[in-house]
Amino acid sequence: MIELYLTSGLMMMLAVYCIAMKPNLIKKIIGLAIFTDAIHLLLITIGFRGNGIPPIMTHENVNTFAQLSVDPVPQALVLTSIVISISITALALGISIIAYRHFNTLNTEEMNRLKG
Amino acid sequence: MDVIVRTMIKGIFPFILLFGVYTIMHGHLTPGGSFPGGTMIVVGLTLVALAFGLKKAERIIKEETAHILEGIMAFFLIFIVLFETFFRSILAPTGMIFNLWSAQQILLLNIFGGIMVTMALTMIVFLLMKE
Amino acid sequence: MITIAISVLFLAAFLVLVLKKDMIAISAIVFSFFFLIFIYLAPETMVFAFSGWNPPFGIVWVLDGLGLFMALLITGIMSLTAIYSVKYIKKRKHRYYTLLCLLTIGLLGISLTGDIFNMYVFFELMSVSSYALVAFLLNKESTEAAFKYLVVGSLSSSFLLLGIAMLYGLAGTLNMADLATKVYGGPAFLVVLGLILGGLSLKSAIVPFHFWLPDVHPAAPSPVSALLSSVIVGSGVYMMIRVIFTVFGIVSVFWMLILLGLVTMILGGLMALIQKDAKRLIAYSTVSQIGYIFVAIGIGTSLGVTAGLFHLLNNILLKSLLFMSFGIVLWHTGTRDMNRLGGIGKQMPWVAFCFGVGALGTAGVPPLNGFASKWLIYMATWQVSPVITAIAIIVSAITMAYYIKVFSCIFMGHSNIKIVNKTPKMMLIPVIIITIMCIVIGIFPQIGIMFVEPATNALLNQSQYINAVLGGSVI
Repeated sequence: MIELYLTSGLMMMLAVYCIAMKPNLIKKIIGLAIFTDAIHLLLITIGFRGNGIPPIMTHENVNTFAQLSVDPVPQALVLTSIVISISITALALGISIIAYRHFNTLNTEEMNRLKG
Repeated sequence: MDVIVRTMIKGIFPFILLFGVYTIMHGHLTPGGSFPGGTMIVVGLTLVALAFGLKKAERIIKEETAHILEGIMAFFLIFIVLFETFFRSILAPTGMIFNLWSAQQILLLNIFGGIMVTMALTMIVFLLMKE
Repeated sequence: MITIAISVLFLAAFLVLVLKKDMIAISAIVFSFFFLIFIYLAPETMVFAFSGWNPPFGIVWVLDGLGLFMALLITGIMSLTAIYSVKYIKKRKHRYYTLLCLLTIGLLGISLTGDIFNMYVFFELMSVSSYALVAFLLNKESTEAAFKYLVVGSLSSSFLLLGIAMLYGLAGTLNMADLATKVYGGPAFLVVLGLILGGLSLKSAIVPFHFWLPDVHPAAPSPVSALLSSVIVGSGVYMMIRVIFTVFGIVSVFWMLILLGLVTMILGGLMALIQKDAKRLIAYSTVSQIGYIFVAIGIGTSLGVTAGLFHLLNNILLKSLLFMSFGIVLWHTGTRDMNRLGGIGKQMPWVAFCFGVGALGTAGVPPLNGFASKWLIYMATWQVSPVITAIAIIVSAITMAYYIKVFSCIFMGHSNIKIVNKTPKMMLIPVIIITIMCIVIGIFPQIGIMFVEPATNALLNQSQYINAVLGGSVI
């Protein structure tokens, strides 16, 4: 368990480094994707339970069911968050395509020089 | 792409579609659901588009069709949410393992949502490939 | 019942792209406004549970005083902006209206939801559509600004998601009322609060995170700048106070709000003084006014919170008025540089009058609405420390200085700019409506206070919120 938490922390640090230090637009987008994935890993690790039953509600009573089963909420959260992350990535790629048409480069430092 | 890749994709494409549909349909009983299943189908379409070119993939589904279908599916989803008491009454109230017709309206939501996800991701992939 | 308003907006977002009629989107947004008025007149707090799952398990929407206050403001400003944009936006109009509908859904969802992850989802819906709206003109400037906004914005919302994930790990629930009963003031919860507030403070433009606002505003089309500066920033403020007051209920962060608010206020005012671009100047003025709101709310008394929310209401009205009336100038002349503009006050006196009302109102001149809320802020801060009041009055004088500068640069003096076209009525009517509202609230501040009071009560009574959600009277 602890190694999963550590991995997600390491991924977050790498992602922030990638977003802050790399000048390339595509690399910044990759950094954003890695950051969200690290949070997804954290969420899934939080929801882990060793020997639970599958979260299919066969009982009528909600409370006893909630004590036995694996927690399905983090997985639902992660799925929702993946959808959001996909739409953001698609939008960012679209914007970077248009930026490439305007500036003929994907490097932010060169873009600033072109702008003058 | 060369002939090996083409032949492989020709063979594997129906199975990818089948697995995607299975994942969508069994979202309330096994891991999966509308989003993972829809993504699998779109991965199959993307493979076709990469191996045979975008024209061949567009023969399967066009971008405009995808857009219209996505909207219609969104309409169905809103319809289910608005009349949820009715849909809850015609389906089984709790989940039953190995029984597809259970767990309230989740099955319907999965099917419509799965088609919607497929269409939306198809649009994204095709639009980005055209640029 | 509230699902009807959201469903109509979703349907309109799709149909406007297929049928290519702008009227669908406009009428959907105006419909949601009137629908919310209808709900607002209902007496008690309504709790709406989706799919028949009761509160601690399912997603609930809570229609309390504060949420409905924000929702009414949002849909009102949105409908005026939608009418304004008919003539302003020329290319790709249908996509613009689709994005506007999605933005309305996002903002409505933020202000009405009672589930913290649901709030994150709507926050992202709002963010994605606002990134696309900023990039809408697709020229060099707007592409660059939109990419900057996108990277910074999605980094900050990732921090928000991280905070929510840790909150779920600590408390085991996502419902805000249920969280309020389970949260206590340990160090772990303070880390979570820090992550969530750090993520949200970017959208509400508090000083260390204000840098995106002045870059994004000039690049966006004018109605979008009006929205960004009023309702989007406003919903950022709403989320922060909702998380602090309703979920955490922690009093010890209030001094931090006052401190950040003071820094924001002073820095925004000073930066606005040296700008040449009119839109950048108004954007920095927004930063400064957000500082006032946070100072007032950070005091934490009933008077302070009333003053802060009243100033939020006035700021939303005034900033949309300023950007829309400057948008008319921009539509005619095509330049934002204040040195090249000038002398157009005689050619369009109505626009000059409306802009003047916005400028004087923001500076806090007596018969206008900005004065009423600033007076309440002075009274509330005087009870805590006269130093804060003195700083607020000095910043108010600075505000006056730069608005006199921008008004005289644009509308007075001489220049060779000739206005050829007539201003379209569709653009003038929303501006005049907001002007009338500003003047009416300024002369009769009781109207504004009457509107703000339920919101203040909902914000300060944490136990009432918890009882309403977990008490069992769920629709």
